[in-house]
Amino acid sequence: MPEIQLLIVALALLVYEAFVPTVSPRKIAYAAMTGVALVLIGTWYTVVPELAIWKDLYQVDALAVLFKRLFLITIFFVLWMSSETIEELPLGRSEFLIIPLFTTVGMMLLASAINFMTIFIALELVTISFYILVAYQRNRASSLEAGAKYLIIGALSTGFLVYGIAFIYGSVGSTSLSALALKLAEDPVHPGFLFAALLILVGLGFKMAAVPFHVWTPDVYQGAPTPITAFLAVGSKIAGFVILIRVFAFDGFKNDSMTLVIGSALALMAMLSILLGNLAALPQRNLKRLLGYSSISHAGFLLMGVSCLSERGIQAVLLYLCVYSIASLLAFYLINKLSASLGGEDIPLYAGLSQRSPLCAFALTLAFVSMAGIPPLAGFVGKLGVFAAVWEKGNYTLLAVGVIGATIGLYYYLKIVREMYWQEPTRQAAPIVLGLGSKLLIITLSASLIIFGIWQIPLSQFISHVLVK
Amino acid sequence: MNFLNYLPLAMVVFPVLACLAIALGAPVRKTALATVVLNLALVLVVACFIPHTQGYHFVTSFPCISLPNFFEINLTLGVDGLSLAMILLTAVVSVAAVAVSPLNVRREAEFYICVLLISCGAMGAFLSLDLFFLYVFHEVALIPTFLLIGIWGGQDRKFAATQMTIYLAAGSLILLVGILGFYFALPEGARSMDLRVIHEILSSGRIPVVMQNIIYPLLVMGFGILISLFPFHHWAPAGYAAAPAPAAMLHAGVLKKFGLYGLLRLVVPYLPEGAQTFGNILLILLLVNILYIGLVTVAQKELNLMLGFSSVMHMGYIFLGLASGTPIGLTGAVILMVSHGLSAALLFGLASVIREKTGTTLLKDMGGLAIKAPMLAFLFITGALASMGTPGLGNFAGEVLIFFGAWKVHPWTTFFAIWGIVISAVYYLRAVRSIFFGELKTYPTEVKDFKGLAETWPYVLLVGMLVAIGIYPAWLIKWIEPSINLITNL
Repeated sequence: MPEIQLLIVALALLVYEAFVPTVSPRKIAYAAMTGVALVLIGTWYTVVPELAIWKDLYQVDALAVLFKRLFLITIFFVLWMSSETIEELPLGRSEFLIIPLFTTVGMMLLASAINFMTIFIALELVTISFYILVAYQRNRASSLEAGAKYLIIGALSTGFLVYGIAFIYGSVGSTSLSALALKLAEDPVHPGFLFAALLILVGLGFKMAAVPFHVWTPDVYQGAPTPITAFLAVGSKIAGFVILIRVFAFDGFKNDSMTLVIGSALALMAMLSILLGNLAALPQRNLKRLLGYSSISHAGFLLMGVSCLSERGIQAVLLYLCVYSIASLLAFYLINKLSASLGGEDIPLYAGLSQRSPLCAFALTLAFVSMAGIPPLAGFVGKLGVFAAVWEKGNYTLLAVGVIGATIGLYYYLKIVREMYWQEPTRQAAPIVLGLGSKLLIITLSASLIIFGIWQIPLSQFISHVLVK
Repeated sequence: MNFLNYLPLAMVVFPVLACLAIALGAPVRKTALATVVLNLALVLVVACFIPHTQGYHFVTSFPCISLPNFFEINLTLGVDGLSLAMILLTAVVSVAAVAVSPLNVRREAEFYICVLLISCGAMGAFLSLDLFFLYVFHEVALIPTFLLIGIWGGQDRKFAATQMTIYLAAGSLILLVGILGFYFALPEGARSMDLRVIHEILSSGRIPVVMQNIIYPLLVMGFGILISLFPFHHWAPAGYAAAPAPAAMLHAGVLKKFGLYGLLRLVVPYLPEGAQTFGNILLILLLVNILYIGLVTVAQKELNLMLGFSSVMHMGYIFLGLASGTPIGLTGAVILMVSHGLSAALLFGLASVIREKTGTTLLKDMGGLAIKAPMLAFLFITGALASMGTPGLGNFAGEVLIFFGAWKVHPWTTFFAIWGIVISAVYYLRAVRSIFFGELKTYPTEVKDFKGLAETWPYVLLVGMLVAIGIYPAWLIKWIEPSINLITNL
């Protein structure tokens, strides 16, 4: 099991760091990255029996494997980002690199969880380690503020989730998703189920940063250390969606009697997220905050796909998640990398970046244009899939909102491109020099954005494999 | 002749490779010029070998995205007579656009990369036989245009570039929804994005009328925004007025034709009932395009804005040709698409020369240039005459065929539309008079004419093409006839 392997890596590093406190945090980071890479490679070589199920708690299927790999790739880049700016932290540098490994273990468990008990435990492992990470820069007020906000709203949403789970246990007598599905098929009009489903939706809405459970997002995105923001934007969001897909589209609440209400609730959340996220992003001046709002709108687009509760909708969402992750990781990597040379994350600081570092400006443009969903970049394929699924369902209002949202989105993404390309550098700014490693990373991620935009046979085949049960 | 199959792919790949080479430090202008000239040569090779039969030739296909029961997308490139006409236009205008690009432009590499990407996008859009890539290639040009206008543009560049990009993106998204609607209206199980398969499916069965009535407005609105159909035209004049010459030439000349090309490929053949339902609205809109925008053009005081509005206005004629649905009207529309592309590129290119030489864009501040720069005057007047629809130049051939074709179907619309010719004569002749004749105004620098063929050859190329189409349109008609027959015989 990759979770156990990663747990061993994390514990070993923790112990090693405790006994050799002089070890440089960079070395820890490299060791952690090597470990993650090995675990990731291992996922291709571990022989998994078809649909391995363990005690109705844990299941390895194609969906789980896809997400586990996504989480591992994400943590690899997050560690890379952290290692580059680790010296800025006052203390506890090594832990800053090791705690995310535990978060990842939680996320990977989540991908396989088929029981509300495992879901809850894994989710709490993720959330609690995020509480620590978000507030890690103790000397910065904004980081503490972000931590406090994340904690309070996170605890509230956990409350909703537990309440929902309690209702399910009360109605079914079990917390297993398959038992829930069976019971639901027998007694589809039981009011407890609907109530529980909505409560669980509230709890997940927080993870996904979907309106109306989004209020923490902009502040936390802005205040948290940039690698952690990236981790939140990619890892935590994917985690929210993997449970959403499992609980509402694959198993658990998958039942015709629920489709209408759940579908409409998801569609409503999608519309609100798209509109609010995009509109509120327009006036932002801080890039991380802007990406916070943009991440709300992406949650909306993803919910559009889930709200179809159809096979095609899920395919589209999986594609969207993959390509969104690449673009987000690239954007946050550059923001993290550039924040020292530019002196912050405010958009006006990016003026004339194209002349200070053509590669960074180009890559950042690709990332934003991909998020905006402009072809030939990968983000377009995700949007195309989601729109197609919604059209097929016939929810034209939702589709219209999506189109309007995407258009508004383009405006603020272009605002950054404008700053980077149209403006001349403000002060006599020196060119930004990148190391070979960063250059390679940036080129790899940029190239994958372009390639996945027009060619994605392996990815799409893997995704279609997820749905063959 | 197997290698011919790879020519369409090469035409798309070469500009991208050239961009990479430029980014890595190859000599900028030489690489760009060599690439577009090479592409023109490839188009000519294709033109020599293409058989005059129906259907697509030189087709290559690569699987790209495969989600079973959802999307099967292949990068399929191929040429038929219609796309041959369009890629010839693209190649010629690209050569001219690169050639007239200023020699010592600042941030040279970025400039030429943007120009090449626009050219690549247009080329790919006309060569794609797959709806997905048709759309994707057109969008490739979006961001480079945004950068070209924003960085190297003239007056009001920031507003113009942003407005244009947002308009075009909104149009494209509506178009995307329309295309999705089209795709899902095909019978389940046989769905395909491939134009050839779509044709096969729809020549035996029709899209249900209910669906046609939903898809038709979406597609016409989406394509209409890209073409600057009234009332979605607002981005065009301001955008073209602010754009540097190569961007305006490529966009007004080539990219705008993509919308018309799309209408000709999807809407005219496959959505006839939708056209019946909404046809009258479209007729009114295109009349507004011709007459109202024509009058707006007369009122313009700046050369670039005038050209921008005039290019919006002339879209009305092409629309009329498409709305007629008759073989003659459609043929005329295609000829006018090509000729208008050439003449618009010629005029936008020369307008930037005039702006450079006189240091102004206001018509009233110019005058008497013909004495100082007779060659410039000759070329500009040829362009203006072409645009007015003077016999002997390409636009006339197109317009006449459109009027013949449309007269049978929509006599009243045609009757009103013909007056547009008079309007365009009014503003072009006024512009020519105030720029080239009258008293010689004083300019900040001494006005010099072109120095022989070394400077004029891009414009001479465009004029030559216009004359070739105007005097003997049969060669072009011979290409496009099979494609048009395929559309009208459905």
